[in-house]
Amino acid sequence: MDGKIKLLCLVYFMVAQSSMMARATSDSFLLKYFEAESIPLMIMGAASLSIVLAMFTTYLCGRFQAYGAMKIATIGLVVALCSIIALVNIGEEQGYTKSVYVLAYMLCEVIVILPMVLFWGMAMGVLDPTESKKWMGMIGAAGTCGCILAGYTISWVSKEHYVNELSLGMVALVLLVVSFILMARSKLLTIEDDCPTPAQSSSILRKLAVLISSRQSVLMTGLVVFSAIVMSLIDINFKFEVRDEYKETPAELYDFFGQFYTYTSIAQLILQLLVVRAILTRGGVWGAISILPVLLLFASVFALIADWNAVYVSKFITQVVFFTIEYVGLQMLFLSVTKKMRGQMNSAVDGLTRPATIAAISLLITSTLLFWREESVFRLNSIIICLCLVWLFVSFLNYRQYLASLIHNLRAGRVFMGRPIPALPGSNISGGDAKKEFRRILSGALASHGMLASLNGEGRFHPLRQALGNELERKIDHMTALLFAMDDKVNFHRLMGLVKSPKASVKSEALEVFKGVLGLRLTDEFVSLLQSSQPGEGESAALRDLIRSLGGHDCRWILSGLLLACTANDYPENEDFVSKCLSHDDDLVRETALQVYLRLEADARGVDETCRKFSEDSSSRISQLAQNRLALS
Amino acid sequence: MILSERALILKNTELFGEASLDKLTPLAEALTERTLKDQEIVFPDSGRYGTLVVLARGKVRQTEEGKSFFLDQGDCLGTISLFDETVPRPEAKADGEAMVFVIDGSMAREFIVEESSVAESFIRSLVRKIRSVD
Repeated sequence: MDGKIKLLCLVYFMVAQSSMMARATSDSFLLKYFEAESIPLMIMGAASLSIVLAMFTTYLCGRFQAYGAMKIATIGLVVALCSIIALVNIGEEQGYTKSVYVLAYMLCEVIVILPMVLFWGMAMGVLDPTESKKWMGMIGAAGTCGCILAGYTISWVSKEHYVNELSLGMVALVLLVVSFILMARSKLLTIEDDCPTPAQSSSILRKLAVLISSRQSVLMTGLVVFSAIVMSLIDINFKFEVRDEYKETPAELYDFFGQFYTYTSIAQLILQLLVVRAILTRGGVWGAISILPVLLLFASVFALIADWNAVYVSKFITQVVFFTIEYVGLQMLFLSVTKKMRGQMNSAVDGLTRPATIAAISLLITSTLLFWREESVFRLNSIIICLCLVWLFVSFLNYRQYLASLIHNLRAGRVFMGRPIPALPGSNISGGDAKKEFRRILSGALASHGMLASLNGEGRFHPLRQALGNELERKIDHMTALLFAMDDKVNFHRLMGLVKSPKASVKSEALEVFKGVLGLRLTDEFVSLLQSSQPGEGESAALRDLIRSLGGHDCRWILSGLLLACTANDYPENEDFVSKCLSHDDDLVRETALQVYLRLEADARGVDETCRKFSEDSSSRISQLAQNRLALS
Repeated sequence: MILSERALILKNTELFGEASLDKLTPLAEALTERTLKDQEIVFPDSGRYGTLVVLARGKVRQTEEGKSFFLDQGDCLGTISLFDETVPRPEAKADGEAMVFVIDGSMAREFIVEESSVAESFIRSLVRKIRSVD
């Protein structure tokens, strides 16, 4: 693990810790000091503030990169927190607490999101796709450890008299340390400019216009909107439930949230250690961005069937899966845009759209408060089911767009440089049939590949190795033609070259495109065929066994390879095979069989008889061979 | 030599290695086998210009600008003169008994032009030759 990854782990540990402490603090403030009617309004206010700050940080990202923006933002938040702590303390003594709590709540809500968004913008800028896939789980796990610590800290602080000041102070302290670390390690986290940035690009409106005009950013905005709507609905209803539960004992709210976030963080850590890496490497981006809507969909369907309030479970799922998988998947979508744009897009699409959606949903809930308080199980779950279905569809569109961007970046689009799209042998096949046919050819190719690997470098097997290699190439060509039938917008010739690229990032992007077309398992198997197979070092199987498994093959070169591998020692036990090949329909197989027969058969009378028979063969080469032998005898 | 052996030898060369055995079969069928004695010249005076020679068995010593080097089974001679008949034929003699395949120039040229993978191998070998001149 290099220094950059260690540093990112450390920073994310602290950012997540501060975020989770701020989350527990803001939730406690909200439910302890405000009425149910005010909850959505407060959430809307916080979201609106986040929008203003997101616009400001988008500007900062453009001007100072995500790293610079994060440095400025953390220092600014520390200063604001110190002022709020003083105000809370003075306000509690002098009795004007309400407005101070509003400010404290708003600031905490900003801390929950802003440093996280900036951190990922910064991390995406300094990591390439391979590093991201390899280390994101690790960085996420560091963050989860920070969250667990944060939960315990808040639970512990909840027993103190100055709970409000202490919890805010802890957040400020952690952010202060983050600021120091960022200042001390600027070299590792700054992206080197690929080209000079034009002066006018620092205009925030111009940047936002560019982001909205791109299909990819619009789709990503859609993804963020739907995820934010569903999660806001769950979050607000969760808060209603918790408030009702702790109506009589509001002092216990700090402890409840501390414990709740500790348990969710522990679940996150377990998930990160055991599942996340597998999902990201095996399921890829599609797996990452679809898992949360699928889980919420199942939870809501189950809740509807069982007439059961699933809001705690749904909140638990969002809390556990969002930061471990869904958010990482979203960040992976950003990997298909240029490095310098990532920070700006991240800040604008995620940092702006998410709070804007939360604000809008909060406003909607405020105006329809009664609707959510009656028949809540049916209404909430039905709406979540519908929204999750749309969310899944938008995720799919995002995934397709992600693949299209990768294809564009890899220059593997529909430009074939004069090379024609390979024609399929036989009739035209398309769509599902092509995939079925691909699967069938692939299993045969894997068998040839396995056989090739099992043959050692012994000279007599060389023709058989060549024949098997040739058959494998033929099958790969056939499969390539089928790939074009599945998706004729991709230049698979180029992609197959890129899969062998020594550059890991290029290779992983090419593989991602293959996974999009073929699926995970077929991609793995197909790509394994593109690796050259070296002769095995051990003993080859006996020729008799090879003939048993390959003797019925329809490839004439493989049959010839088997015949040419025959030596005087092998001949007696494989005589039948040679005889069978002597009456084969194909001239090449017959000729090879006759050559081997003439070389190895000891019975002179039998040889003469056979040669007489073949001297009138339809193939001039075979008849010539037989006549030459007859002339000699 | 039987057809399958010829095709397999062609498939074993750098120039034709990327072509499929089925595509090499017509070439294998049309080529002429020539057995060379020790020190026999590969391109005799009576030989035609623009033929491609593939060393099927044995060794050949080639001499270029006073330097001599050995060619082994699978190496090709006369690739450049396929596309430029003004290029002098290489001086090459068998080192011990050898067998070569002589392929008609126009046929070899057509094959290289038709098969993009063979054309790529051909260009690669040309680039290597140019670099070696540098």
